[in-house]
Amino acid sequence: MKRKGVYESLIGELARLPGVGRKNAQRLAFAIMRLDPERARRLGQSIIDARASVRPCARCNNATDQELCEICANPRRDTTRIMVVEDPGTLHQIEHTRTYRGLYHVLTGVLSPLEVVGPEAVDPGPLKARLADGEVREVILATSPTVEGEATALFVTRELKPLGVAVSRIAYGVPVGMDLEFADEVSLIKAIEGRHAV
Amino acid sequence: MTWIDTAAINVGQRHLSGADRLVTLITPAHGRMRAVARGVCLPRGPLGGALEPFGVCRVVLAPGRGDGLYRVEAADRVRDLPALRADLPSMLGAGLVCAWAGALGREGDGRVLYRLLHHTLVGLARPADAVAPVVARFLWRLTLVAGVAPELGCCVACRTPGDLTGFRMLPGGMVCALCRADGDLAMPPRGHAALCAAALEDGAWRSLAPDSARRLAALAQGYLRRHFGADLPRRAP
Ligand SMILES: [Zn+2]
Ligand SMILES: [Zn+2]
Repeated sequence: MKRKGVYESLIGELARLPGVGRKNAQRLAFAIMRLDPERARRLGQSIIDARASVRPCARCNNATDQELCEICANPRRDTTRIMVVEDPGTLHQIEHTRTYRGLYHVLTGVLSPLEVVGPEAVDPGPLKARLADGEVREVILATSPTVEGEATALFVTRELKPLGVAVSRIAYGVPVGMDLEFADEVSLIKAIEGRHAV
Repeated sequence: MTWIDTAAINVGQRHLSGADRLVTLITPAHGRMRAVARGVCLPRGPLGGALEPFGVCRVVLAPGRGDGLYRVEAADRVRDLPALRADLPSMLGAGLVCAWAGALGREGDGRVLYRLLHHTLVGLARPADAVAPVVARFLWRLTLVAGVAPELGCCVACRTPGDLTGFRMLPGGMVCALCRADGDLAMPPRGHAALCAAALEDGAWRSLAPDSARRLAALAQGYLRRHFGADLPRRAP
């Protein structure tokens, strides 16, 4: 009986992680149960270490265990561009594509119109401070094309425009592999607006 | 419970695990409905982006687990309002309107609420209309839809029509100078006129000044809270 309790609580903890869900949690828990004890110990220890040492990067808010994150500390990154993202997860997803060599800025909150959360949720100060020395030429907004992401992008744009820096937003539109005929109106409009010369 | 095929406006969503969301829909025949939309955040999932807030969609709902909870089987966009997503004040106004529609969606006639909400969102997407008057008008019309419209033509306490100088939250309406008590708000003639413009059925709300409209919207929200104890799905900033 006790064994079942431990197993259930592991599933419960895993299922509470974003994007996992009950079924995946069961699968993961089952895999963890079959690890040899030393590997299980290392997994547990790395979770504890990560949680204890991770903090926001002093410059960009990315998750790091140093004062500055790997990206900010890398002298080969293009320091004239900053890409604004909603969370470190999005940053890592974009890094994974290996198409962007500039810097990032992770926002500490998003506007959420449906929950009546307005501009008070986002402090634009730290981002504006990074633009003060004039080295940054372009700020690229990479927020999701959701209500929250779009409201946040509109707000950040409004804050940055007076500073004279070029503000762009990544293109949105029809996902790869989708038939245009089935695209909804908003996605089509976004795709047309975001067109580029070929 | 059988399947329901209906028009709907998504007024609220909460992330569940993975790409699933719990959506709050305002529908013409059933008022507020809650439904689980599986895979709604996935670009190539069966629901795609069809359930994005602020637009009108057509949904097929099946009975879900739990009392009064449905499952979205299919969704299609019927009418998008892209202008709402291109302007921050319009977007915040639309968010507030949707949040209140969701909070009070079980009160009154669903069909009327749906029409009012639809009409309001279209108004917010129209650049000619300023945001604050549209929102103020929505909130005061919502008091009517929800069955708690304030008495504006005479004193709510003694029923005399003259010398109305205050506003009483409960039971709701103007009060005359004689009946006015502690706790009633001062309501000068100009405020009374603006309140009538927002609440009554004609085009007068269009002429409301933005400042006055914002005050009326704040008053309406306080009023709705007093009457329903309802509050918005507010997320801490
Ligand atoms: Zn950094
Ligand atoms: Zn009286």
